[in-house]
Amino acid sequence: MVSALPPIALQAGGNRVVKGVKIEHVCGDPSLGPTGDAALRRHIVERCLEALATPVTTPTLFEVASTEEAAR
Amino acid sequence: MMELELGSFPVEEVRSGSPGGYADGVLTVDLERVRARCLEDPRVAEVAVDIVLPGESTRIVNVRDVIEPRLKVAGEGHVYPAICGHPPDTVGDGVTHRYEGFALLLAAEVPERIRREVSAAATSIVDMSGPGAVTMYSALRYVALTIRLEPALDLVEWNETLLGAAHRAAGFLASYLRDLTPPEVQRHALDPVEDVLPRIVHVHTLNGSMVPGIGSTIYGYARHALPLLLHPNEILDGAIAGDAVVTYPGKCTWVQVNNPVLPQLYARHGRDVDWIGSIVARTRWGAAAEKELSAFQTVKLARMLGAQGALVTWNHGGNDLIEVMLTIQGLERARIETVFLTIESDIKVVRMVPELAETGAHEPPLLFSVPEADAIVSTGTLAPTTSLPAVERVVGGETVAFDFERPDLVSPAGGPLDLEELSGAYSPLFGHFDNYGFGTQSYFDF
Repeated sequence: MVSALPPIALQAGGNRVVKGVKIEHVCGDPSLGPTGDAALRRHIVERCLEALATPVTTPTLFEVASTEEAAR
Repeated sequence: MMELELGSFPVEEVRSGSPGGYADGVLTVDLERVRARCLEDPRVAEVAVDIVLPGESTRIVNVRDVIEPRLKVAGEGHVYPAICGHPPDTVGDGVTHRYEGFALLLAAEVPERIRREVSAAATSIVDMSGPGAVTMYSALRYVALTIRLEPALDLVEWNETLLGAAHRAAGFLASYLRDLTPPEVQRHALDPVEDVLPRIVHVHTLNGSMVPGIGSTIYGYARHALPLLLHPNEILDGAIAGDAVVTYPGKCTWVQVNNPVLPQLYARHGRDVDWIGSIVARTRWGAAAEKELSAFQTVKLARMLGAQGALVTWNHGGNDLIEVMLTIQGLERARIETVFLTIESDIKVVRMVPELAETGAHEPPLLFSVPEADAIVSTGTLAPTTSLPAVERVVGGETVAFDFERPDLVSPAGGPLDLEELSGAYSPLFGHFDNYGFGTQSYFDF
C-alpha cells in the first residue's frame, strides 16, 4: 500500500508499505506543476511495482526518492 | 519572571437587566448592549442573545466556541492576545479578572458551502439537563449568542467575523469586572525552586488545522510551526485560542484557559517538581517527515531545558497521535521520564456496557503507539446515553445534522435525538473528548 503515514501502516501489519508524499496528496505533489507531478507519480508507481516484486517476511517500508529528485 | 494574579468572580446567578454589572455572585447582563457590540461589524446580519443556565430543559445547538470573559486590569497586553484586533504583546504578567463558572457561548449554523469545505464542521450540542448533561459544559452559566453572518463570506472571513463578534461581546461582559475587588485571588509564578527537585516540562501538543486559515491559534498564529516554549501564565491569559469552525472540544477557547493540567502542575511546583514551562508543539502535520521533525525538535528543546521528566498532553485525535507518540519515544530515549495523559478512544462511543468493553479488549484503543509509552494516564471516554429526550427550549438554531456524510439527515433540534442513529464517527455532545480529565465518567462504572 502507498501511505502518507507509514508508522500506522506498518504497525497495522501492512506487508509492503510505500512511503507516500503527504496526507493531503498521497500519490503526487501539485506544487511541482503538471510535469514534475507526473514524474513523481510515475516514480511512486514504479516503487510499488518493485515492492511487489520483492519478497518480504515482515512489514517492510519502501522509501521513495525525495519529491524534487523524483520530479527530475 | 512572570507573575500573574488571577482574580476570580464566582457567578451563581445570571439575570437580564440594565445597567449590567456584577455584585455578590449575581451577574446582571444588559443583553441589548451585548447584541449591539456584536452588530458593530456590518458583516454580522443577525444576533440573538440568550441566558442559558444549568438544570434547565434547554439544548444549545450549533455550538462553535465557548469563551471565558477575562479582563487584564494590570500588566502588559490584552487577554486573548493577537486575535480579533487585540495587540500581540506578550501576556502572563500582572492582574487578570475572570468569571468563575460563567462563559460566553457562540452558536452559529454552518452554511452549506463551508460544511462542504470543512467536513469536520459538524453540529455539536450542549444539553443543560437530563442524560446528555454529562460534560462540564452542561454545568456552566451562559450568555449565548446565536449569530448569522452575511451569506457571501468565505471560510476564513466567516471564522474571523464570528470570533470577532464573540470576543467583542466577551470583552464587554468582562468590562463589568474592571473596578471590582475579586473575592478570590490566585497568584501564579514559576518561582525559583530551592530544593533539588526533578525538572519537569509540560509538552502541550496542540492540533493545527489541515485546512489553511482556520484552527486554534497561538498568539493568533494558526499555521503549523515548530515547537515553542510558553510560560503557563501566557496560556492562562489566553495565548491559545480556539476557532469557530471545527468544534472539537479540546480546541475551544474556554478549555485552554481552564486546562486543569496547569493549576495541577502549579500546585506541585516547588513541592515535588521544578516546573520549567509548557512546550507547545503542533500536531497533524501532513507529511511523515514533518511529524518526525516536530517530534525531534520538541525533544531537543526539552533536553536543552534540562528536563528530567515530561507530562505529554494532546487535544485532538486521529493521526495527531503519530507525532505525540514519536515525541514520547524521543523523550524516553533521551532519559526523560515521560507520562502521557490521554482519552481512551477517539471515536464515538455510545453506551458502553461491560460485555462490549470486554469483547473489545483486544482492539487497540489508540491508533498508534510506541513501546516507550509505558506510563499512560487515561481520562476515560465519555459514553453518552444513546438517546436524548425532547427539551422545552432550544438555543442556537432549529435543526441539527450531525453526520457530515449524511447531510440530508436533518432532525428538529428540540425533539428526542437518537445519537447512535443520527451521528457519524464522533459523538455530537460538545466536550465528549475529555483530554484533560474534567469529567468523572468513563466507559462504565468500574
